[in-house]
Amino acid sequence: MDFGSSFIPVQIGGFSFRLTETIMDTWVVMAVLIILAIVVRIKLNKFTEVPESGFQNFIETIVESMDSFVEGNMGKKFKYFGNWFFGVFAFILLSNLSGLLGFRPPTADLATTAALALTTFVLIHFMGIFTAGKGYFKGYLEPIPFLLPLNIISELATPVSLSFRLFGNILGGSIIMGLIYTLPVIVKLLVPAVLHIYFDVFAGFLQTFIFVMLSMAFIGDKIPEEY
Amino acid sequence: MNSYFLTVGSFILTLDKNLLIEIGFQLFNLCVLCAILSFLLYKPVLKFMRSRKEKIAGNIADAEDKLKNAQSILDEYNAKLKGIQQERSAILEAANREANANKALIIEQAKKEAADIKNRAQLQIEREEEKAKDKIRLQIIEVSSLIAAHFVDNSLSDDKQTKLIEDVIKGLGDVKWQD
Repeated sequence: MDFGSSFIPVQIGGFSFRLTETIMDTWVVMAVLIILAIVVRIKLNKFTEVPESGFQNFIETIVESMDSFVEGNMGKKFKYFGNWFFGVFAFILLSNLSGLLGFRPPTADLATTAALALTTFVLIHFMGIFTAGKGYFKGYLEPIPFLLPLNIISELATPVSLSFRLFGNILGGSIIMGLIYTLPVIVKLLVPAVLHIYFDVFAGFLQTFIFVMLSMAFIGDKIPEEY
Repeated sequence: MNSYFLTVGSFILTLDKNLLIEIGFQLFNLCVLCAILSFLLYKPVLKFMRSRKEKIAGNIADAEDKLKNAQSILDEYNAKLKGIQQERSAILEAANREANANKALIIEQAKKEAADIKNRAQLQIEREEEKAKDKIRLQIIEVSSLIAAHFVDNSLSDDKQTKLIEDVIKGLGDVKWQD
């Protein structure tokens, strides 16, 4: 029983790397999302002021939800973060849901979740420096300079916890689903459907929401109140 | 989990150089995806919704303005109507006063004119009467002269005298008739 991400070793010039199943699945997820975006862009000219189609309703609902979600968590001034978090949300959600179609979710690979957490980590500290300037680093010496190492560890723990939470949850679901499929056929008739709803749909939505919400909260924490 | 492509190996978690390379790949993929989604989907849809929101807000503000304008016009017209009613009452009152004044004047003038006409008529009647009297006097003188002439020319018997007087009277009646 193999629950890992398959790969093909690739060598281009002197540079060798693994072309993993995760990267391939990521491209599939990206392709689906990009096609959806292109369809929306084409259909946008036909969007009516009062939404008439279910498609327009759906697109407007998700975009407006994300916009108000970002505004609620980060404030009106930083609403532009919606551009980033919309992509992150859509990518994680579709990656998690891809398990329903038999793909290995890209989020079941630490490389994906670490990349996501790394962007959050960069944004956290970028916003800290951007809003507080040089004073940002003084915060690491508070309440007493002696706690500097602990403060640094706490900051480094953020991306680690973010990435491993998502990775662990989705990988755990994938492993359990893989094990279920090894059971006798009579069990496979009903049980996987229910478990897919839980692990792929429910946990998929929940983990996406948790990742995005925590990222916004961590970045928002670094923005002083006067902003 | 079954893999859909030929592989030479698989892994769940490796903390090595390959992980860093794959993180790099995923970072690139993520950035490209977010940029494309932002450019093609999020921004245009948000722009569309914002412009619609602004348009609706504009329409609402416009409607409120129009409502305010309509209300002020209504107030203005109500005030004008009230003014017009007052003005009408004032005009009617003034017209009544003027009419009453004119009425008194006209009646006075009419009375004066009537009195004048009456006086003129009276005067004319008196003049006519005087004229008639003068004429009669002249005719009497003429008749007397004629009678005197007949007396002188003829010695008259009583019968002749009576006949003569009757003739004169007849002649006098003819003269009067002729006049």
